[in-house]
Amino acid sequence: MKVLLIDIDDSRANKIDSILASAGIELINFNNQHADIYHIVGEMHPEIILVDTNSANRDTLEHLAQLNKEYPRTVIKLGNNRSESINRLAADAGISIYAIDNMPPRLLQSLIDITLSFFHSIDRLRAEVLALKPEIDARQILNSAKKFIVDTYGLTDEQATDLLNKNANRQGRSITDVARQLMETGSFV
Amino acid sequence: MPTINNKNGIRLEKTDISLGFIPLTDCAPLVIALEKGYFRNEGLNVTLSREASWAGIRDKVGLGILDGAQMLASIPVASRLGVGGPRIDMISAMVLDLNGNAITVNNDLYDHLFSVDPRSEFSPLIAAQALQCVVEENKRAKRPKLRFGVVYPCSTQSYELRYWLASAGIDPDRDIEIVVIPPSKMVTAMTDGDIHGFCVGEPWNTLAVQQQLGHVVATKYQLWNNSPEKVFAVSESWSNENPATHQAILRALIKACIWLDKKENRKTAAKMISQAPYIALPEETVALSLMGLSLKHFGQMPEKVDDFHVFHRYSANFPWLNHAEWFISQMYRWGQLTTPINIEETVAAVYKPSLFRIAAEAVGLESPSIDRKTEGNLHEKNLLMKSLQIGPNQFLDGQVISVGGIIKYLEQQSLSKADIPALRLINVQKEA
Repeated sequence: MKVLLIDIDDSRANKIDSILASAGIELINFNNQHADIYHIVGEMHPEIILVDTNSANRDTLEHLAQLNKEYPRTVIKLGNNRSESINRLAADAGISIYAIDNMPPRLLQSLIDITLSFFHSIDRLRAEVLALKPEIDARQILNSAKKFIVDTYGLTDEQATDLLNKNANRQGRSITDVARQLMETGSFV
Repeated sequence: MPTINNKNGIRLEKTDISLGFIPLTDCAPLVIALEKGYFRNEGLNVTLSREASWAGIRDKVGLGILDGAQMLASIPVASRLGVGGPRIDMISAMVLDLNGNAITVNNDLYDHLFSVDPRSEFSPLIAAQALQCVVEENKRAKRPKLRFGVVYPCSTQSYELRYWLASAGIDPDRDIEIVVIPPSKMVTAMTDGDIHGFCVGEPWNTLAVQQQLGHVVATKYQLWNNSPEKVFAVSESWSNENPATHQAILRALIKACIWLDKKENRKTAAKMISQAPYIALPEETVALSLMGLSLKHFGQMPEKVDDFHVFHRYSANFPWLNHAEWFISQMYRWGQLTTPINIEETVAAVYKPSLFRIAAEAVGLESPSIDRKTEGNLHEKNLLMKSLQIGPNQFLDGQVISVGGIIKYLEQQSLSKADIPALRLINVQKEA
């Protein structure tokens, strides 16, 4: 079975690739603004297409589905049932799904679940990294301030930390604040 | 469900509203309703979401990700029938604008048409006939077919392009190739030589002419005077769950359309909609057609076409059922729809004049009391007094569609794939 990805960036596509490959699904990643969708779909005959919900290429996929009944068409229901997961796939992961007519709904459901779980974990990771960012930034500033003191005044690492602490205490500010000011202005006050 | 009273004392089911639009000149009613505070005055907190494809807009409205959207007037009808996409029960209670599209061909093809008949410069019918000669010439020389771009398979533009081609006997499915390209890539596709012509909404035709890539050979106005272009559509279930909110949106949009239709506001409108979050093109490009100037040939004075974009006059916002019938007739004509259906019932399920009348009355407007009107019987020269209720409605080929006469009309269409006897069985003719 072939799954074609359109306008989904490589880093995401590569991750799903390894999961799907283990199930014997061939994944073709197509992320080129200028190539011809008619040609790609006509050559590859994918059974399923995953496309960025906001891709400008979508209306061309609609046309292909209309030209040839063998080509994948938009799926917004699984069998006769409304599917919450298709909605989440579009709303949360920003992916729309196209499939050929006789694709079993159960198979589609699994594919959607796999894709969703992957994108959810990516989103969670991203959120965790984002939450850590202020702390990472603070640590970086402190380190460069220390390095600056060590290089400029020939002090040891410990002495540099000490100096920053003293200044912070005296001014009633946080050590990160003082470090940031030092890096921006070259002065402790 | 929590309800909120807006300042007019109306209970709204929902106040945070997300509406989709495509960056085209006629997204103006949505943008103006937001920028001029018409939504806010109704107690609505509206976010406009710029979308990249009609398929995206259609599905997001169907899935409830968007509350409603600007749509090609044909999309709610096609979606209800599952033509060219999944079946989604959409309704439309309001038309956002009339006219506004054009057919542009690249310089090479234009020179060719001009050499066949120089009157191609100003006559869409003659340009189509000249094109027919070129198509025949290409066939004899075994050259590849000419390629034309449209933005969506079941689009107003697709039906307009096909109408124009068929007027000269060109079969759009055999004699040329029609491909779908998003509006924003249309001009680039012409530059790259991928397509020889396109039918698309403004400002893309003006842009192609300004960049000296091509010439406009027909406008939507010339193909069918004052025909519907974009509508405001929601899903039927959304409308049932949020009737008061739906009415509030319609009132705001009607006010925006009234404002937009005033000539003195068009310059301001061009400034607003050309901004980065909306169309993101130079104001001069967007302004031209909005000011009623149709630029067809580079270096020539643009033609004055006051009705190039109509947002309100001529009862433009009224969702005429016979307009939806015309879209269905074209779906049959071109074989997109093959199952015989009851046309009258279908259009009444999709276009909602009754909902429009409520909104119009609330803003102090009178609405037409009939749901259908005759098309093709009013030539612009015959309307002695400039009426604001009725506008010209001529077709390029001079056809007339009487009320209830859509199948008779379809029967007269050339190159048609419609199964007329099967349609007659299901649709009882009411025409005299």
